Amino acid sequence: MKKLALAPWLTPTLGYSSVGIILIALFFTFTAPPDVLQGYLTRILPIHVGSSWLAYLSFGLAAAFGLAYLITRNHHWDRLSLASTEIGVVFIILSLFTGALWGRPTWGAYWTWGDARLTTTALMLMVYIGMLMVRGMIEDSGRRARVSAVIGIVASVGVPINYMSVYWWSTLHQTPTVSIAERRSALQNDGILIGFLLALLGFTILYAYLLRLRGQLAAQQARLEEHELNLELKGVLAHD
Amino acid sequence: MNSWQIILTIALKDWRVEGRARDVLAATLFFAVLVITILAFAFGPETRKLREAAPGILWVAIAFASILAASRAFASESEDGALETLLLYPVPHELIYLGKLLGNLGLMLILALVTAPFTLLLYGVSISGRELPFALTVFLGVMGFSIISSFQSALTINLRSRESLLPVLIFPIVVPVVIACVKATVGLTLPDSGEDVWGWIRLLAGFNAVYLVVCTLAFPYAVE
Repeated sequence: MKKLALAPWLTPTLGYSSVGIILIALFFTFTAPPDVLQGYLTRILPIHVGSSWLAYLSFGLAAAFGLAYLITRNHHWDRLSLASTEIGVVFIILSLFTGALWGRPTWGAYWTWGDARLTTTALMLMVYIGMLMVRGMIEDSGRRARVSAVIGIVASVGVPINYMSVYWWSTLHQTPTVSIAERRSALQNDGILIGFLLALLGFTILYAYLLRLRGQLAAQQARLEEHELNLELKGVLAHD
Repeated sequence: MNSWQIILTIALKDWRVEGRARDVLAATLFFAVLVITILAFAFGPETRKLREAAPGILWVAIAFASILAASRAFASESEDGALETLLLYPVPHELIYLGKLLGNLGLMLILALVTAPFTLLLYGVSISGRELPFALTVFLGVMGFSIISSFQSALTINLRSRESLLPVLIFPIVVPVVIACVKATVGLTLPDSGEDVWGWIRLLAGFNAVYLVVCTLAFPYAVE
């Protein structure tokens, strides 16, 4: 039997450590004193920012994997690109959901079309769902990989636009909570800052875990299809 | 032949086909005029309301019509292996994209040349003294639609259910163009609305520049 992945012990290690780190992050987040202005509302930030960051990372890397596929023509990269896109879609939905929960008490509405960050995020979600739909419609695996790599690269232009939207339009959504470039943090105490940073780390490891898991599943699916095709071919030959 | 001649030759080929069959312009023009007329009925006879809705209606009509044109832009190439022949020409594939884009853009500009004055007339909107920025907005907006729709049309050529798939692939990407065009048009038709017209036009120009480069570079992979 062909080995599915290098270092099989790595996948569960990543899974357990990401869950552990996210739990520690939540502990720090929930034991920190409440925010002076927003009270308990800031406790959703590590999850909201963590999932938004993961969506950016997934879509950016999906484009990079797509480019790697176009250059090497190795289906390994296409499977990783698919895995990355699916993870991105899940986490952008989580980001929209947690953002809506936070927006209702602070802005007075779950959703508003007047905000640039919200609108561009909804559009990114639609683009990537469209890409997954296209994947489902192409049967030839080579063409499927090529077309989705191209869509992934074109769609990734939305990631920097989405990130910069809060600076360019300055509508409702606030600028990043913690900015290294501007050397500032809107978090008021160390407890929630530690929780915030640990959550980012935990989500990043979670990405690596999910990427490996989904990539391995896709590899198994590809092998199953190949196997079934071989069986059919043998059946046809036996009939002749 | 230099690059410009190659691009123009491909665009001329498309225009010649269109000049003989006229199926793209006939379908899209009729459709756009229909949208504009139906929405006028839907919003009711109140002049003030219609005037406020006009920019949105104009761009909805152009956006929908450009999707319709996009699915046909490469439809003629999928017949009798025309695309394979086109790709066999000893020119860089990037130039083929730019040629197809120019062909599509030309048709869409004719469409806009009819629908924009028609909308202004029908909805009683005045742009006197602001014709130039309005023409620029229309040109950049139509170009944004053409860049994305020509590219996605080439990408999905020969796919089953491509007609229903194209809007899914095109609309989410071109929504910034729709927003910028509507906002700029609102600023031009209702001067006291306080919209930053040149800011939106700059956004349109930036969008077009970025996607023109990305789509041109990605096109050879889209059709190989």
